[in-house]
Amino acid sequence: MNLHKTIPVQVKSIHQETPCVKRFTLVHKHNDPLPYFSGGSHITTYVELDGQTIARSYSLTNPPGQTAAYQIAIRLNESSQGGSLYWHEWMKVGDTLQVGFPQNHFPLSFKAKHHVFYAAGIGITPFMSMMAELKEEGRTFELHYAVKSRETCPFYSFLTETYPEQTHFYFSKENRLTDASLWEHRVGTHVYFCGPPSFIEEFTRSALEIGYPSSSIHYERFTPSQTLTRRRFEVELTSGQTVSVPEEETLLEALLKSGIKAPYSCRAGRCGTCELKVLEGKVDHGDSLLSEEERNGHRSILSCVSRAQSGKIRIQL
Amino acid sequence: MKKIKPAFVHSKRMYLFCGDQKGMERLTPIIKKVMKENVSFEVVFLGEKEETDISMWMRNQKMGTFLYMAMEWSKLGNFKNVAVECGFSEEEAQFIGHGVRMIDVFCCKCHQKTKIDSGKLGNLPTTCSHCHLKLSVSDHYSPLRGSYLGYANLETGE
Repeated sequence: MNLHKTIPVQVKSIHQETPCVKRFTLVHKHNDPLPYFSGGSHITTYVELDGQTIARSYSLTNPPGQTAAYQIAIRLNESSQGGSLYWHEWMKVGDTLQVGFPQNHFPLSFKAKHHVFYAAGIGITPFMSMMAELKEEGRTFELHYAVKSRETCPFYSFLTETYPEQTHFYFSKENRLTDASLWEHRVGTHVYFCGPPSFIEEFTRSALEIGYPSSSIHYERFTPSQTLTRRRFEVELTSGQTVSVPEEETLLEALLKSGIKAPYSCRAGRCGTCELKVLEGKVDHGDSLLSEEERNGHRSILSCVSRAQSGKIRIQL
Repeated sequence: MKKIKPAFVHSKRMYLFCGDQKGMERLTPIIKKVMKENVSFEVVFLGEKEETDISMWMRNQKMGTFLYMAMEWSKLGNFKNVAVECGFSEEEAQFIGHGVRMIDVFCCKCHQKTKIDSGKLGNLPTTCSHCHLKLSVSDHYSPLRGSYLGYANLETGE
């Protein structure tokens, strides 16, 4: 576990947002103020389950500048491997846990003249703090929010009351969110996508096809891209050790399982904490961090998502 | 100072061309290419419209457009500022100047600017028009100062 800098927190309250989404308010265990965060930040939470530590990252949904508490909203994932299931089934008011310091891999662009957020489902979470920051600063924005229905829409009442002019809901049975509005944004607009990988990929592709410069497109994945072919491969370390990475595991998981202290944080290929130097072999990149040039150089691998193109690679570790 | 050639940028929904007579001549190959590819475009001749109209025209453009602006250097800076203010980023516009280009040199001593003809850059040093210090002009352009940095010219006395 990567527990270098953590903060002990206590669950102060739990609010059932929708049948599948719970919102948790966390305060410092000793009532100290929590570190400041900016719009779009997230924290990694560490919960203990059956002797294992489960690390999961969640966006902070309260307005930046509020240091008395952190709020996170978690959707119960049907195929949960313990993270959301634990939070939904076991976490109670008064429980304590460790959380990482806030990090922001999804900051607001300071160059944008206008910000447009596209959210699908629980993808709304990073935009909650971003919109609060923009409103506070008097900058313009709009939200396009796709969700199954009004009843399953997290933060529905809050959004209609706080941002009535800026929010556009798309309930799938009534009117689906399409990429049509991407054609309408004026020059100087920056767009932000958050939701399932297919949603992010579709909207990013559309924006690029329209002619948006890539620097005006921002997105955040909480799950890695699913486009890689998962093949078994071997990784040789500079220590001499060889680790086998089976189809169903990531390189990071295989390294940790072998007792190797590999660094990591987001586990979704966007923060770069797990980046390792590649000495030999080609990499099948699955991250959203490295540049085209860095990818083509095959000198670097993000162990949480990327794999070997060939049967074996050698890395510096 | 080398002459900047306009380059065609692919995959945009719309291309905008704005410039004076000579500027448009420089943009002609790109306009022809856009016409050949059958992509939407608009042309605005400088002088046909007031600056405020051009500002309004640029402000109302949609994402996915690419702007080419070609005019005399003396006017380009101002129009570039308007385009940037309207939201055009470096990735969404090309600015091409012609004629005499005056550049600012930032004095390392008094922090004032002196205008020089960029064509004379190789024949320097120059003298700061404010504190009269002899300056050698570096090729380091400071976006913060909007100037090339001028350093004290160290003469060897030979």
